[in-house]
This record gives sequence, C-alpha cells and structure tokens, in this order.
Amino acid sequence: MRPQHLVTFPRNLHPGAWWLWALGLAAAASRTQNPVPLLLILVVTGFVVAARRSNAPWAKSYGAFLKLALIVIAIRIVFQAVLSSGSQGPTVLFTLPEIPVPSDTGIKLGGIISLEAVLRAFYEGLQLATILCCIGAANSLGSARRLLRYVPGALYEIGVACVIALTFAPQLVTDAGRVRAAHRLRGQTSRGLGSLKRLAMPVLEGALDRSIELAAAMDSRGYGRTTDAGRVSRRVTGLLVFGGLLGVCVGVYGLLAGTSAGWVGLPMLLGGCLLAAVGMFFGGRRTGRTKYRPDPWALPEWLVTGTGLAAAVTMFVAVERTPADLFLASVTQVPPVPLLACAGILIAIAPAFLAPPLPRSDRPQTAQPQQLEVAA
Amino acid sequence: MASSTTLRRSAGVLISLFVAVFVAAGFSGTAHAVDGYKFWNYFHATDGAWAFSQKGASAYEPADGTIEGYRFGTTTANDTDGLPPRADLAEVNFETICGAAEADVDQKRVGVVIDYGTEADAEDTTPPAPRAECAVVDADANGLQVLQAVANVRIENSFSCAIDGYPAQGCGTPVADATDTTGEQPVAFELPADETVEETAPAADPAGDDGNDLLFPLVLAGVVVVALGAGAFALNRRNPDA
Repeated sequence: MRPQHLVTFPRNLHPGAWWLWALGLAAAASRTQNPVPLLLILVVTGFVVAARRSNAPWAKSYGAFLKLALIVIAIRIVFQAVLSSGSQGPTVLFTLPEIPVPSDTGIKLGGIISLEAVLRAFYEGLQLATILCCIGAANSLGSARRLLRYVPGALYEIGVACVIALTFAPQLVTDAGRVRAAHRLRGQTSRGLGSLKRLAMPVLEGALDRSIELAAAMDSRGYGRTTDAGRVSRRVTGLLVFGGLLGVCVGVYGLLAGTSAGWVGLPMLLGGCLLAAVGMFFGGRRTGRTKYRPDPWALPEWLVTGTGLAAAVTMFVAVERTPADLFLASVTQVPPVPLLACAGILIAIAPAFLAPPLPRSDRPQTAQPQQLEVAA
Repeated sequence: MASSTTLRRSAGVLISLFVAVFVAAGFSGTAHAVDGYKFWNYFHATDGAWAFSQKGASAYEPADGTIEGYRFGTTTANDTDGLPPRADLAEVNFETICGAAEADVDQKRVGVVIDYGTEADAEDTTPPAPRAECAVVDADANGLQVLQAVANVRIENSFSCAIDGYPAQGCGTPVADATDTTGEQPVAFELPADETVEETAPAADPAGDDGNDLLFPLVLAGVVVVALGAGAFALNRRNPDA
C-alpha cells in the first residue's frame, strides 16, 4: 500500500475533497428547517475545522464566517419579526409602539412581536447561517487558492487570472495603508470623501505598475500564449463549457429548490456535467501544462468526500420518508429529532479522524515550542 | 489533418446545436409546463357565499362574527376566483361553529373553515377530514393569528405553506397541465362539539402529548451538540495560533 493511501500518513488533503465534503453538508442543510439537524451540521463543521486546520492565514476564516452567520441570524430576526407582519402568531411576547403603515404593504414598524415570528425567523436564519458555515469550513480547510491549482486546462487562463488577483488583493490593502500614512505625515486628514479620491489615485497607479511588471516577467518566462488551436475549435469548447456550466446551474437549482418539475433537477445536472466535461476535455487537450507537486487523490480523499455525500443522501432520503420532521408544521412545538438525518450528519464528522494529519510544518504552533524559543 | 479538422468542425456544430436545443427546451419548458399552483386558498364568507380574499391573511383583520375559509388545492395561473372550501354555508355557519364559544369584552369570535382538499391534490397521502373551528382571539388579531389560534401553520418567507402540517413539504408547488375545478359537491365538515370549545384553544399538538418519547432523543441530540461544540473549542484552545 502506498503511503498516500494511509489515513495516518501526514500530508495535506486534496482541497477538492474538503469542498465536496462541505458542499454535501450544505446541501443537507438546505433541505431542512429543523434546528436540531442544523445545529448538528454547525458543530460538525466546527469540530472538523478545529481538528484539521492548518497554520495558513486562510485557516482562520471559519471564525469570520461564524460571526457573519450570527449577524445573518440577527438581521433575519430584526427584519422578519420586527418589520414584517407576515408571520406574526397569536403568542404575543411584547408590544412596541407602532408607527402606522398601510397594511397592504405587509410592512410594519413596531407593534406586536410574537413568539412564532421570532422563532420562525431564527430557524430560517439558522438554515442560512449553517450553509454559510459549511462554506467557511471548506474555505479554511482547503483554501480557494489551493483549489485554483486544479482548474481544468480549458480554463487555465481564468485560473491564472484568479490566482494573481488573490495574490495582489492583500497587497492593495498594504498600499492603501502606506498612502494613508504618508497623507497623515503631511498633515492631511484621512477621513471623508476627499481623502478617498486622494487615496484611490496612487493605489490604482501602483496596481497598474505592478500588473505591467508582472506581465513582462511572465512573458519573459514563457507564460505567453502559444497555443495553435483554431478559432472554431476554441469557440466550440467555449460554448460547450459555458452551456455545460449553465446546465449545472439550472440542475443544482432544480435539485435544491425542490419545487420545480422533476426533469429540471438531476437530468439537467448530469447533462450539464457531461457537456462541461466534454468541453473541458477538448479544451484541455490544446494545452499541456505542468503541475507543481500535485496533491494525490487517494483513499482519504475518497473517504472524506464519501462522508459528505452520505450526509446529503441521508438527508434527501429522510425528506422523502418523513417530511414532517424536517419541515416543522409549527415552530412552537418541541422540534422532533429526525434520527436518520442526524445519523447521516454524524457520519460527516469522520474526516476529523479520517483525513490525514497535517505535516509538522503546516500544523498550528503549540504554545510550548514558542516559550522554549523565548527562553533560548 | 484536413479530414480531422472537418470532422471536428461538424462535430462542433452538432454539439452546439444540441446545446442550443437543450437550453431552449429547458427554458421554454419551464414556462409552458407549469399551468397551475397548489396552495392554500384564502376566503371570506360574505352574504352566504365564499369570496376569494384579495389580501393576505396577515394584512386582513376579520370582524367579530365572520367566517374565514381555507382550501388546499390546485389553481391555474389565470384563475382569479380561487378554489373555495366545499362547505355548505347554510349548514356550516357562524351559529353552528361559534354558537357555544364565549368571548371576553376585548376578544372576538371568528369561525375558521379548513378544507384540506381532494385525494387528487394529495400526494400519496389521504388529506385530513375537513373541519371548522371557532377562534376566540384578541379583538385586533389579523387573519393569520386567527388561523394560528386553531391550527399549526407552516410559514415560509411570509407565505402560509401548510396548515396542520399538510402538505408536509413544499410551498406553492407548480402543477403541470392543471385544470380549474368547478361545481364541486359540498362535503361534511367536522364541527366543534358543544362542550369541547375552549377559550383561545391552542392548536392541538398530536406529537407533543407523549412528551417523554419526544424529549429523550432531543436531550440526546442536545448532549451530542454540546459535546462536539466543547470538543471543537478544546481543540482550538490547544492550537492557540488562531
């Protein structure tokens, strides 16, 4: 057995596996508004991130997504419970002073706040927050930047452009800080719209300079485009990829919305995937590119992807079998525990143990070595 | 070389044609296949006849002594009359629904008629028996609060999707090849018995009665959530880098 098939051999897991795992959990979250499975998904993503997070800067992004999720819930409650009369129930919690608004608009300012409206807003907000946290987990475990290395050959140019943009974005913030510091040294105020104008010019100028330098450097190193593909074949692959991705979008919408006609879902998704794959295959044949130290796709990758998929599949089966447990008939009743769906979600915690441990250099530093360094 | 280019070109043209047909069929198909929607129709009983409500239940304030009607069923997109409850208003009227109910000074009595629709509109299930209830609510309660006083309502994005968990999922589900239903025969409604009318009776909760059966898995799930959350927190503390 080769070492990359061992779950104990330290290495970085393929970022694609993390994204598929997280998308499986997000798909499961999109099919229920029962807070029990939603909270389970939330803690499962948090646990796996805590267990398999690297020391890279993007690994901290889960915390940011968690904060964003809390803000989403708060906004949802304010807008739906305080500013809308659409879901107010008979259990009135308290009454705020009301500013009269024509009742046709469905908007209200103040007035009664009922338990039903607050709970409904909380459950709906929790669903969105959970999906956000799944994306946050994917981002912090397998960064979007590492994932960009695996864009298919047909989309090579777009991938390179994205990598450059992601690399230069932090530089832009540093630039802005420098220009601002220089303004302050000259005694100019760094507030208001006028300062923004003064700030924008040097920052844009610097970005343009850097782009030209980078373009020259890449050109001299042979990154310039030298493919000899004909115009027609280029257009056909472009059309195939675009049409395929469009089909994938419609298919995913049909599958997740759950309300549209049956053939919009899975058949459209599969058809779109097939078209996109054909397009990318033909497009990829044009260019032969090397990959620097590619991550293998071995047994741990299959296991991680499989657990995410298992969570999604059990949720879809549970929705078919006991829809009443996953779409609450009443928010004030004690939420039922859908055992099948919960079991599926708990399977998805396995990557905390099945994903290979990180190489020592990528692990977050523990407190002790740092103290030793200080002592030495 | 030349033959392979021609081959590729013709294949390309064929595939692009296929894509065009595929996409066109996709969009025109969604536009034409859906002629109707399945949802809860909302009615007011005025002058002994059902009138399709022009407002949402939350924007309408029913007066004391009136009757509200709800009917689940398929309505075509260009039907403006809605699908009324199959209740004979001569038999199901305010007297028979709310005759036994008593209201305080600052309360009002509103009859609520709930018709779960036909077998044809139910998906693999039998719709519950149609019933009528008397809601005794605060005098300024709106139609939605009146309904929620006698039934469980699943609201999604401020749209009433299900009454008493029926239908179990979906909201305004599109129906292909829908036809308008007309001239339905009235059906028998389950009226509240004289002695069982309660004041502001909260919706009967069939699952909530056996509290212990329901509470144990919930406590278990709660313990799992707390344990995993604590585990994640502890793992994070071990890696103070973040």
